[in-house]
Amino acid sequence: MYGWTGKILRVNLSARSVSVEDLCPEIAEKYLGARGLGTKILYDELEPGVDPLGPDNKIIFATGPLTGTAATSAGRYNVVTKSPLTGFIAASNSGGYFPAEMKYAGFDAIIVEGVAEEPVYIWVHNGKAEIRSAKHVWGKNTAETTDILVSETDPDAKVACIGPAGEKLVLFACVVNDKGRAAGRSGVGAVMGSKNLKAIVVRGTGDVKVADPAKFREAVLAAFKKIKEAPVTSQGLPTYGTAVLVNVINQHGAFPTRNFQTGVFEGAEKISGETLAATLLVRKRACFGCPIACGRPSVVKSGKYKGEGEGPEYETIWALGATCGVDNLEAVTKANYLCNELGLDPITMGSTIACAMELYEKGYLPKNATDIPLVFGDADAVVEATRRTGYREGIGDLLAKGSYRLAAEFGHPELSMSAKKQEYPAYDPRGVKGIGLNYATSNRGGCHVRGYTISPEILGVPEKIDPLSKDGKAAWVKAFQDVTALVDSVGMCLFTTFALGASDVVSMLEPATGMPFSTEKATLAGERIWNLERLFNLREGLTKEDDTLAPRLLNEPMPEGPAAGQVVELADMLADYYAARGWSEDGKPSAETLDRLGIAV
Amino acid sequence: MRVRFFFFVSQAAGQDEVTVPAESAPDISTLVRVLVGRFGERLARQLLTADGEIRRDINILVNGRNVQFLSGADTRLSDEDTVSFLSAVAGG
Repeated sequence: MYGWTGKILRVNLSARSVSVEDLCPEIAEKYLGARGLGTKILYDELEPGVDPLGPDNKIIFATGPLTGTAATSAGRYNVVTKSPLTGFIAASNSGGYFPAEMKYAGFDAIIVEGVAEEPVYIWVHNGKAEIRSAKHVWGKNTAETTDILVSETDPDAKVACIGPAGEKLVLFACVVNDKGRAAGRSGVGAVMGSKNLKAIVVRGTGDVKVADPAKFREAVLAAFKKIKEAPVTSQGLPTYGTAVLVNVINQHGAFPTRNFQTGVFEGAEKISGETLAATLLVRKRACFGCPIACGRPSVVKSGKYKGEGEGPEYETIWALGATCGVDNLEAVTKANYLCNELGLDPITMGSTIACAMELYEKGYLPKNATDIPLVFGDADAVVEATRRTGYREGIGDLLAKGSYRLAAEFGHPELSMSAKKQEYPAYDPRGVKGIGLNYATSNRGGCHVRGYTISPEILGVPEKIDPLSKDGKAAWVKAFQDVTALVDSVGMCLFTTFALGASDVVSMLEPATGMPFSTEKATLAGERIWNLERLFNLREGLTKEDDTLAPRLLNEPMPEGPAAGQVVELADMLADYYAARGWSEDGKPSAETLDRLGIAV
Repeated sequence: MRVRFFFFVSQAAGQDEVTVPAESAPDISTLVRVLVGRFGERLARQLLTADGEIRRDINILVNGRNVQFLSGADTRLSDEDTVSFLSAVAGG
């Protein structure tokens, strides 16, 4: 095969067995790779109702057909499994250098099954794999683990691992690769921990063959040119990184503050991208093959928040800052370093602390239930609560369950700012209606990168649409969700879509794989992947009632700012969305839709 | 009125915000001309096309609402307003 390696590695940790299988070309053509391939494997192989943290769950690391090629920003992979946080599908995306190295080591996907008797890691190199003891790195943080495993395998090896949070089954533990990049959401790190799997280490000297090198090169150069010409990808992201959005979203009155109690944060300037660039950032860092280079290594040189690492990104600044009422950028940065080192999803971490703070301040979380006073604006509390969560110490043991279970335990689940038990990211949908529909319908729960309608609603890319209107949003959300599934599944970074469209992706995909793709066919593959994720969730018991938002967003008008008085009119948008998708009124794909998509169930 | 500059617009203006009386800039179109007159060519490149039109990729907000959903370049301004100029950026 071209583009794909054509090989899948299967590792059964219970049996301590390793085998290599061929990738079926028909499945590759229909589901592409990465998120799509992982979803197809999980749907076909997982029994409904398995315990996400039990031996019957599987975890799949999958690259796309463009991963590791010269295609623009094509250094991505997905970690796909059944989520312990949501109970539905998890597909977490990351970049860095691990994904390309996994391709060079010979595999499109690695399927991990069963549970190891004691801590192990999987060493994958040039088409071979072995299961090795990880007892000596169990308990180590992600940076320490990476350094040790590189030193005992190959100096050029790349590592994807969990930290203490994954080992201790924190429900939103992430997988960290290349020290600072993360498959962040839905608790995929806890699934690794449940399998006693500390890390996957990859090294390969192979390459990825493309079918038509001349045509591929021509398409890649054209895509690079577009990236370099678009203001957002040539100047905005390279100069300021993602944190540029703090001021943008706050200006629109949609910057969730103190657990979504308002959309305007009075301390935004102190934690803005401009402040970050002027104070803590040291340089830019790019993932494999990426001309955008949005990564931001930073350092806090002295004081109680002293540290060094990657970020914080926009989402992290919001989660560990504004939604906790914190405007201390050094504290936010320190808490972000802890998330990277301990292996925690910073979005859910921050949002869970914010939820705990509201519960505490309203008297629902008794003072004797926490060993740290949890008050909005307390920067030290955010840093310490993050650390304790990573180790499940004290209040951290409660926070480790995520905001929904925490709030439900104290009788107020409505104060969890989540969809399908996964926390929303950094946009209040009362000020950006389309993103609210996207949160409610996202197959992995509250998430912005399933269908990033912030792009047209706020940023004006590819065109400006009114963020406060509900009209027409269903079609935008569907279109963004389908194209995102395509981009995720070929192995490219979503940020390329600020400059490139589906036709640009296809212009590279076709000569790379040698398979005939049109824009329509490729977008249909994205839609197919979205629907298969939906079918997985339906099989796990999802109903229409799960496609909803927190009561605060539906019923409590935004109290101030440009979106004052607004709520999310979800019911109207949801009906339009089901119709646009070809689903029944209770949210199930119709027989005609499945037939059109070529999905057999 | 309070006029705020962000990102590359701020770099071009050399400052983050200015106060402009609504009397001298009663609408967005006039305000842009006033600002370009005050800050010169660098700001003009950020805000205007070669033909002198307001660039489509610049987001201009009045009290947090994009002028595209008000009255565009004809949007009326008062001394109580806050106008924000944001250059093309993105994140996620």
